[in-house]
Amino acid sequence: MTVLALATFPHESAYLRGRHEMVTHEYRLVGEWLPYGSEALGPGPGAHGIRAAAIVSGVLGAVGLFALTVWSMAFAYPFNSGGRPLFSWPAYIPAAVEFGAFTAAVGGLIWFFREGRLTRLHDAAFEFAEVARASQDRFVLAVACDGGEDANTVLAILANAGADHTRLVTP
Amino acid sequence: MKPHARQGGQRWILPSIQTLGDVTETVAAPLMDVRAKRRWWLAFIAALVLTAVGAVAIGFSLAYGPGLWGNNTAVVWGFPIANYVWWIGIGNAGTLISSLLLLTRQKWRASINRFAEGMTLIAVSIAGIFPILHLGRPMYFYWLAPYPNTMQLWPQWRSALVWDFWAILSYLLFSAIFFYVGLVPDLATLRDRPGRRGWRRLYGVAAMGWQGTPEQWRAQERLHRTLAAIAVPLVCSVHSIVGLDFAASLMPGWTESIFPPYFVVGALFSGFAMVVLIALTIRRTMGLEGMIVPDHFDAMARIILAASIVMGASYAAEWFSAWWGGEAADRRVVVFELTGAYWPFYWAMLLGNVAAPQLFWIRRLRTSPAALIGVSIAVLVGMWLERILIIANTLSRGYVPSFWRLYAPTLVDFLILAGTVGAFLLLFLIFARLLPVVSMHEVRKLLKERAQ
Amino acid sequence: MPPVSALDRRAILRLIATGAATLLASCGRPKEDIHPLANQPEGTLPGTVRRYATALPLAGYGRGVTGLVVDERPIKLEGLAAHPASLGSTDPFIEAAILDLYDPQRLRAPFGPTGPSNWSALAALFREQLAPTRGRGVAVLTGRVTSPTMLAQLAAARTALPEMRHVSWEPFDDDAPLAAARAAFGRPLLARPRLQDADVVLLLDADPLGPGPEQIAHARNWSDRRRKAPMHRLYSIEASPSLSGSMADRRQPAGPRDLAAACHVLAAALGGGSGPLPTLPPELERLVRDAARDLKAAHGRALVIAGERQPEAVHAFAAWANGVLAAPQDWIAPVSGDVSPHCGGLAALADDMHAGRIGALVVLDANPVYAAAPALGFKQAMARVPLTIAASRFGDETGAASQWRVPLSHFLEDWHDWRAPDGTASIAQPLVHPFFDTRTPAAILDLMIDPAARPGSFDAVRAQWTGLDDAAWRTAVASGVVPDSAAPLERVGTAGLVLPPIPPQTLTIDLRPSSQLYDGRFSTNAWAQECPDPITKEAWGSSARMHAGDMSRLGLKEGSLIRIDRGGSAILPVRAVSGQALGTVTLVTGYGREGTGQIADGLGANAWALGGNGTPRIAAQEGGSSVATTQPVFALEGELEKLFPVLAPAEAMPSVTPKPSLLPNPPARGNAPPQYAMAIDTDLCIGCNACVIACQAENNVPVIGPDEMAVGRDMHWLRVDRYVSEGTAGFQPVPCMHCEKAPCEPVCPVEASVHDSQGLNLQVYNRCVGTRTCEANCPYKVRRFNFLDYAERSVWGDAPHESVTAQRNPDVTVRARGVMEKCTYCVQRIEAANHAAAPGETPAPVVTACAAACPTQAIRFGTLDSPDIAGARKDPRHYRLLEELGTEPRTSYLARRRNPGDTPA
Repeated sequence: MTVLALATFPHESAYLRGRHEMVTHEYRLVGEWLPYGSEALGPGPGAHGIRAAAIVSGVLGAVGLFALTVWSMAFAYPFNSGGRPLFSWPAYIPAAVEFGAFTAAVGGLIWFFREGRLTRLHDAAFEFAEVARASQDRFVLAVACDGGEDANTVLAILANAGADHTRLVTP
Repeated sequence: MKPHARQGGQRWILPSIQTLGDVTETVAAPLMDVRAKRRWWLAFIAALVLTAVGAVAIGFSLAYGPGLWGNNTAVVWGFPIANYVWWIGIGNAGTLISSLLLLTRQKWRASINRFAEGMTLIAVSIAGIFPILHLGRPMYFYWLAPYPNTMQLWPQWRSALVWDFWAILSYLLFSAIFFYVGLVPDLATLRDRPGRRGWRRLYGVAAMGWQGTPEQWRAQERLHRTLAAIAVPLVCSVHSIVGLDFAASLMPGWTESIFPPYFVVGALFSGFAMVVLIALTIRRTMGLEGMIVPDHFDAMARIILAASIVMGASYAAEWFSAWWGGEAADRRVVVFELTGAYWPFYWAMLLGNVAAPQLFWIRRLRTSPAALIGVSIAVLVGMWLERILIIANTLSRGYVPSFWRLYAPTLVDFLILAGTVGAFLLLFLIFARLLPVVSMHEVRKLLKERAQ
Repeated sequence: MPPVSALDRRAILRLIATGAATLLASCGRPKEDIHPLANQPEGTLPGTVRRYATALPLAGYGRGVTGLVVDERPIKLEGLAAHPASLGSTDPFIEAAILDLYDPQRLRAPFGPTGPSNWSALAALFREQLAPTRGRGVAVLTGRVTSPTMLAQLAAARTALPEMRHVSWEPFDDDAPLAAARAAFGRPLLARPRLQDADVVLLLDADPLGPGPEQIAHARNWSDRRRKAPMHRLYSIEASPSLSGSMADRRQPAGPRDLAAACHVLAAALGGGSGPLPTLPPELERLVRDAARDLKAAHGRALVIAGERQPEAVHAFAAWANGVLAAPQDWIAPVSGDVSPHCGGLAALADDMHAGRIGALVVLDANPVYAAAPALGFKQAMARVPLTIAASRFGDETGAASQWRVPLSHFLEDWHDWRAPDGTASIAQPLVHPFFDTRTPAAILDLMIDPAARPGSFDAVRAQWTGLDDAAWRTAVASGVVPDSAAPLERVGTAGLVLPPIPPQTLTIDLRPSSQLYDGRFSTNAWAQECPDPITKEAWGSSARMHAGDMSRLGLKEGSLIRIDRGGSAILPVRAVSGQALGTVTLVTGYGREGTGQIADGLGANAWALGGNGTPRIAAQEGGSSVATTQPVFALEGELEKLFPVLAPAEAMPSVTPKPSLLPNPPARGNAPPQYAMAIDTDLCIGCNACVIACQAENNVPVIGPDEMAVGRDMHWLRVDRYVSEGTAGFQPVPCMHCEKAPCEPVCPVEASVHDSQGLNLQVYNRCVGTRTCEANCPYKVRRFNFLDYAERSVWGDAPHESVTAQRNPDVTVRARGVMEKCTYCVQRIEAANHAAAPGETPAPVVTACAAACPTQAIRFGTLDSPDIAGARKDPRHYRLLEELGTEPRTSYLARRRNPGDTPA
């Protein structure tokens, strides 16, 4: 039977030790919850997703508004405004750029939600009280292990690494 | 206050903050779960009264028309536009400070960026009222937006006011996203803290299911950095466009290519002054002495000093280019600025924007609360005067002397200005009760760095 | 001139009654021939403008006008080309008169000693009190009477009441010139200078181009001469800058002493007089000597004009000088019939009133309590008269001092006739049925003669012109003038030399007619009050004009309050006026009114109260109050002189090479519609403001009142700037420039400011959201913003002012609050011409309201290829305002010229 070992660490160093031990002992990390983003975890996958989403949506927004501008000024409703050319492209740039910045942010935000698996107000992780500590002052690690002796070993390793609280969760 | 001698991350958090829990407690404890203090209520009521007065003045203005203000046919713009430019300037600083310092990896931003961004949102929202309010027919402000209509009419995209419309709108929404992305982990903190169920539920919904997993942190940081990279040029362009409202014209004293950068620096300048004032206030009243430390003020005072030198150089460049350019109309405006009907205000502006910040050459004064308050207020007043004088000087000394008319604001003008100050206070007080004024997760990270 | 349709009296009355009844049913008294508009009179179309010739009086003289009537409402008055006192143009008084018709302050019904009354009560009173007296102790006071009908009525009244006394009295009288002519030629004659034939003119404090019944004709004649080569030369010696003085090629300020002394020097130079000459200030001496030389050289084409307020001796001197110079000047017998001195007549009447010898005083359209010399004590005198009746259009001081206040009709509501200053008679037809229970002065005389007389002005006027058969009558009415009715020219002998006595050098008071209010008869007119004074640009009030040196000597600052005592007293602020003679204080009349209503009451001080004799006393008062002005700076220096270039006679404007532009040139106008443009000759603009009020009337420009004016929110679409550039004064009317590269257009965020294919810069009121960016970016500052719903706000106080809306031009939008507005080149007239033209046909020429009003035709409007505009644009004097900005204005100017002669000015 597989059980879940939960441990909370008061410091990032202890947490990293515990995590390192688990990885070396080839335990499967089921979940990690951190009170801040630690660079020690490395870049992770999908490093360019958000940036690409922001750039693409920003360019789309800017070009789109520029196109709307040109269409409305030069084609849909052309008129003489102070003798200026209908296609007064330099004057059409600022609004497009501003709007592009906004759409870039929106695109990035959407990608952030997707990548960070957000907007899940209900998630199994919230069943564990320890996870709530991750947003306060603790580093939380959840490791899958076999029940019984194996579980006790895991708890011991974690406690040894500096966990201030450990427990086993039986599904 | 004395600056700390310690270097690196250690400089920016005092020893009174030891653990991650201390950070959370210090920042989150004074929020909605506990009863507000008496002085918060007093400030709240004062701000509410001021806001109400402003609202009544705005109500009268809407009912009777812009004729209640001091504007006339020559000086067609007045307080509303000056207020707008001033507030948007203040509003520019928060995002700029936050994003610029993030990009340049200035760790000390951690304890000031949140309230600076909050200040931005509030100031930009207030600023956004004015372009609508100042209209002759404010109910039709939406005609500046492109939307399908039976007349098939579109906005006139060559107008700097349309650029401005997009700039403010984009900037406000962008700043809200930027603010929110930084806030999400802290919302989760509030969600997970003991407290009233209703509030926790609200925080929970706002936190969108943030757990703090490594993927989330990575995504959040990437987005934050990406947004910061967009924010810096955006902020500069927003206030440049505000500058173009004036510069994209042919009036003497307005049509100057220095206006966009000069407006951006001016915005940063007034924004930092406001941040200093807010930092001093919340540091004392919300027990954040451990996180907002003398070194922060020292750093901000240096930036104010630098900005004041740029401002001084901009004024000098304005005078010089009027003289060197040889345009009689430009020279008339400069002479009028320095010696004309509004000269006391112009010299007061120079005093506040250029002279007063020079006090910050003295190290001791950079961390002295009294000096910081004095100079910040001088800068804010000076920058406001600059905004109104840009309008009044040029419009009072146009090309045709037969139409040289002076501007005198009315009581309603002053009440509306006072009302916006009240609204700013009011919204900030609410913000300070609802949301953490310091970014907890970033200070936690800073704490780790101090430990190393 | 468009054709004036000939309608018979019944048709006219029917049309008029229809309109009056439907639009103003609540205030008229319709009795007969009322038709709802559903039964449209034949030949009328709703919304179309019909033009009728009629006439309006100023100081008793008739001036022909064309009334524009839309849907039975007269909405605008224009000039009448056939009339010698209009010549197709107007002055501010004609333009403003239409507002009087709709003015809510008008008197509406007789008001007796016990309260509201009616005409039959007055008739009963006449029957009881006047009939038995045979006119003994009965006095009728009128203004100048030129009306043949009125003169006949007066004669009839004298038949019915043989001992009745009639006194004619105008505040600005002809007593001095008549007396001078009587002395010189043995009979009272009036000089009529022919400015069109004069090469050299010397004005002795005369202001022929200034306000008065002959302003239009003089201005037209002067401009006709000024257009011709070789250039004429105008010299002016005057106490305070006037319109004529502003247009003079050379001008020197001089008070009465220096002016009289100048006459002596001039007399000697022209070969008259002997003995030691009085000393003159050097500049004045030089001017007089140069003027004398030029006058002599231009024998037969040289003219000396004495100001109407100058003493008799100066007029006598001018008569002599003109005789010596064989001046282009005609003499006619006064057309008013009554040549007794106005001043003396009124003084005698006042004496009799004080002495209790007057039992009944009927004042017909005159205001002696306000304007009579304070020494007469006219108000107190009226209190001694058992029966006093004052007839006027508006409440006034005389009405307030009378037991009976009876309402007069507006001139456009009844039949009248008047003679022009040259004697030409015009029969003035009504354009609208009387709104209220009002009568004409002639009808009141009628009532005195026969208390049973029926009201109605037509029969009396028709009876007067029995010499005209029906066809001739119709022609005369329709054309606005009675043919060949001008006064015959009188042949005169040579006048002897009279040298005016030289008064001592003392502080003197100089009273002048206001260019807006005249002697006070336009005080109640909101347009007139709001129109800025041509010289000081003051509106809704007037300061005492003084020399800056006098002011500093008396310790006065700009806006200081002073009290002046001479006969009566006046308390008013002072203003330094450059060009004012040292030792003179100039006040304009028409202010300081009481009991007239919301518009005029309490504005300024009554200058007539200083109509006494002797040296005035001036004392500084506590406090200060400045009168709102629209223009703060007059003198142009340095680079600003470019705004108002002044050229020597043969000089041309420097050619301007257009600056390079990033903007592509507009496409060639192949099949484009007519391109409109305006050309304004600043060398001909006399600053009279007729165009300003014409524009106001035509374009529904709202009145904002003194408070808003003080803030600087004037709404006039057309302003007349006055500048003194390179030592030469002049006027520059500034309407919208209709720039081809308009700076206002690209800055408008909502396309409310756009260009049309005719080259017009349009303002789309419906689309305007009121950002005011266009005005902020307008280098000419010609846009106007409606800050406070001026169209709906009333400057008439609590009085219901809906009647004023009846004047509004139905073809022009009434602008809402929060909307930018500006000169449209009278786009409604352009579009009317476009609609009238057949497809493919070129529309008829269009005249804007300002161009139509301009007495000197300084404002010309037309298409770019029309002779007027194309010619002006090729003129060497052609320039555009702020040309260096590259806005390419369609409104352009011809430069002011100076012709100071061979000595420096």
